[in-house]
Amino acid sequence: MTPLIRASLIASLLLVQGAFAQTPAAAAPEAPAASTEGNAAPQETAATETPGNGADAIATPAPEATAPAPAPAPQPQGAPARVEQPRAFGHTLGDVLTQRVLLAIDGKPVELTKPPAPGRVGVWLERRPTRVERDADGRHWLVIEHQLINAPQALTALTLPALDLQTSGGLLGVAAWPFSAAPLTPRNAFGEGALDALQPDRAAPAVDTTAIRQQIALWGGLCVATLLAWGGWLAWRSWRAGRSQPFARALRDLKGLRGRGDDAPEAWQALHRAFDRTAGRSLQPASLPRLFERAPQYAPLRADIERFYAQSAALFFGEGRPADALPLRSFARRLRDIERRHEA
Amino acid sequence: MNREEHLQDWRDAALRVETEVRKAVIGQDSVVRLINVALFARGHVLLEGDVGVGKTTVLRAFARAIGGDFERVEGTVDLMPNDLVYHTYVDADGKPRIEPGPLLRHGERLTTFFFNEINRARPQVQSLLLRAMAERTVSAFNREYSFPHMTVFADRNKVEKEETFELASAARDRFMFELRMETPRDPAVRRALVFDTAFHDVDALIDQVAPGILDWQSLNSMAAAIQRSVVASEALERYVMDLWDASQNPAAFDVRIDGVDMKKLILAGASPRGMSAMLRAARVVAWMDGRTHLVPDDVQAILPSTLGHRVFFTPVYEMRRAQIADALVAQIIEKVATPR
Repeated sequence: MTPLIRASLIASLLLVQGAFAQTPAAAAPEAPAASTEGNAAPQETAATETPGNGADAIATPAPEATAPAPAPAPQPQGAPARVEQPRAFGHTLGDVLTQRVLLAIDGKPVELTKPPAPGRVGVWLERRPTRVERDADGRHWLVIEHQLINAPQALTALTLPALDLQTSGGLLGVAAWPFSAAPLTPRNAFGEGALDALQPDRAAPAVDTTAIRQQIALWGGLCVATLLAWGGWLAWRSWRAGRSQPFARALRDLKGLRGRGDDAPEAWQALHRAFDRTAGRSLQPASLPRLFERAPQYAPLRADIERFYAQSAALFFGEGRPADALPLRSFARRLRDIERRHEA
Repeated sequence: MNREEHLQDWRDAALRVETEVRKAVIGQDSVVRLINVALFARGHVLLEGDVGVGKTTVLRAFARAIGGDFERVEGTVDLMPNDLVYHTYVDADGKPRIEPGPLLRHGERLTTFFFNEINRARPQVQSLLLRAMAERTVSAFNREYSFPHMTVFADRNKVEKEETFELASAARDRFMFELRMETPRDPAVRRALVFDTAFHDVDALIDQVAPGILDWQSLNSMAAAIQRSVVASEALERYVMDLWDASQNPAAFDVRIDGVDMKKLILAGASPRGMSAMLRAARVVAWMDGRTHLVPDDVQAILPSTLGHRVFFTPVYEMRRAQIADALVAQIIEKVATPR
C-alpha cells in the first residue's frame, strides 16, 4: 500500500511543480509521467495504447488471496473510442465508476443506435442505464456507470468490461479498464490483548438528573393540582346546578313541606316559581306559550302543565281547591327528571 | 239569581256592541275591546294615534251602538271654556241670543263626548273638561248641569308640538285608559281600508251599526253591579299591590330596561285613583269573560293602557316616555310573580 501512496504523493507534487515551473517529468523516475497525470485527473486513453498502464502495474503487487485473477479482457472489435476513464485505484463496495465515451469515429460524430443494456456484469459489477451528455463544444459523450456490488476480501484487481457500441457509423470499441478494489475491513483483527474483532460497549457516563427530577416532580405536581382543582370546580358546579335548577329546588321545597302535603298553597307557589324561572318571566295561562318556546323539552307535559295552571288559578283566584287536584309531588318529580335529562 | 241573569243579559249586550262596532272599524280589535271595557267601567279614554286611523269613526259607532247623544269639539288655541258652555249670536230679529254650548246642549242625553286634539286647547279649557269628567257636572247660568251618562274621549295629537299645551299629569291621571290607535299592520286589513269602497263613506258605515243595543240610562247602575259581582282573591290583591309597588320602585322587582338607570327613572308611581281605575277595568274584563273572580290575566290585559300614562318619569327620561313606558309595563308584567 505504501508504494501507492508514495507514488501518488510524488505525482501530485510533480503536477504542482509542473504547473508552475514546467519541471521535467523525469524528476520522478519510479513512476512514468503519463501514469501520474492519469492518476490525478480522469484519465483519457486511446484504444491504441495498451490497456495495462501505470495503475495496472501498481495493482499487481497486491496480494491475491481469494479473488480469482481477472481473466484477460477481450479486446473490442470496433473502432477505438476516446474514453475518459474513472480513477483506477481506491475503490470499494458501492463505488460508482463512470466512463465517458466520446461518440465519434475518426473525429466524426456518430449516433448511438443501441445503448449497452443495464444489468449485472459478472460477479463484481452492475451496469446502470447509460445516458448521453453534451459538452460545451457540442460533442456527445456516452456516460457508462458501473457500480461495484461486491466486497473483495483483499485488495483485488478488477476490470470494467470492454464494449462494442453500435452506432450509426459502425462499431465503436471501448477497451477494458482494470481497477483495484479494496475490502471494507481487514479480514482479521490483531487478536492481541484487547484488540479483538469486536470491542465491548462503552458504558455511557451517568449524567446528574437530580435537578431534572425535581423539576418534573414540581411541574407534575402543579399539573395534577391544577387538574384536580379544575375537576373539583366542575363537580362543584354541577352539584350546585343540581341544587339551583328550578324544578330540583321546587321538589326540595315540596319535601320540606312534610306533613302539610300538596294542599299547602306554598307547594303550588314553589312550582309556580320554578316555572317562572324556567321561562325567565312571570307566567300566566295566557303567557304559557313562552314556556314551551324557551323550554320545548316540557312540551310532552303540556296537558298537565295547563291543568296545573287552571287548577292553580281556581285555588288562588277562584272557587277554591279543585277536587281532582294534580299530585304535585309526582308532577314536580317528572318535571325535575326532564330538567335533569336536558341539562345532562 | 235575577241579578245574575240580568248581568248575563248585559254581558251579551256588551259583546254585541263590540261586534257591531267591528262592522264599521276593522283592524282595531284591541282598541274596540278596551273602549268597550272603559264604557262598562265608566272610565274616560285618552286616544293617541296616527292621523286618519278612524278615531272619530270608532267613537261614532260606539255612540250609535249604545245610544244617547254624541258631541264633538275641536281643540284650538283660541277655544275658551265658555265656548263649551254657551254660545252667543244675534238672531234674525237683531236680538242677542245665548244658547247652551256643546257640553250643555244635549243635557242628560249626552253619552259620548269627543274632544279632538285636546292638547291644542288652553289649560283653562282642559281644566273645565277635567271637572266635567270627574264630577260629570258643570256650573252655568247659575245652576248645575249634570250629564251622568257621559263618557269623555279625548284625542291627543302626537305629531305636532307647536301651539300645544301638554296635558298636566293630573289631567292624564283622570283618564282610565290611554289608548294608542295605530295604523293597522295586517296587509289584508290595509288593502281593505284603501280599496274597499264600503270604508270610504263613513256615514254609510256608521249606519250599518245596529243602534241603541242597550239601555244607556242604566249603564251607571249596571256598571256598579258589575263591580260588585266580581271578587278579587287575596292572592290577586297581593299581585295588584306588587304591581303598584313595581310602578313606584321597579328596581326592587328586578325590572331592567336597556340604557335606563332604574333608580333614577321614576318620579312618581301610579296614583291610588289610577290603581282603583285599573281594578275597575280589570273587573269588567273578568265579567266580559264570564267570570265572577279576577285572575292575573285580566289585570295584565289592561295594564299597558292603564299604567303606562300614570307613571311619571324624571325629566331626563320624560322625553323618551313613549318607548320607556311600554318597556316598563312589559317588564313589570314579566317580572312581578303571582301567585305569591
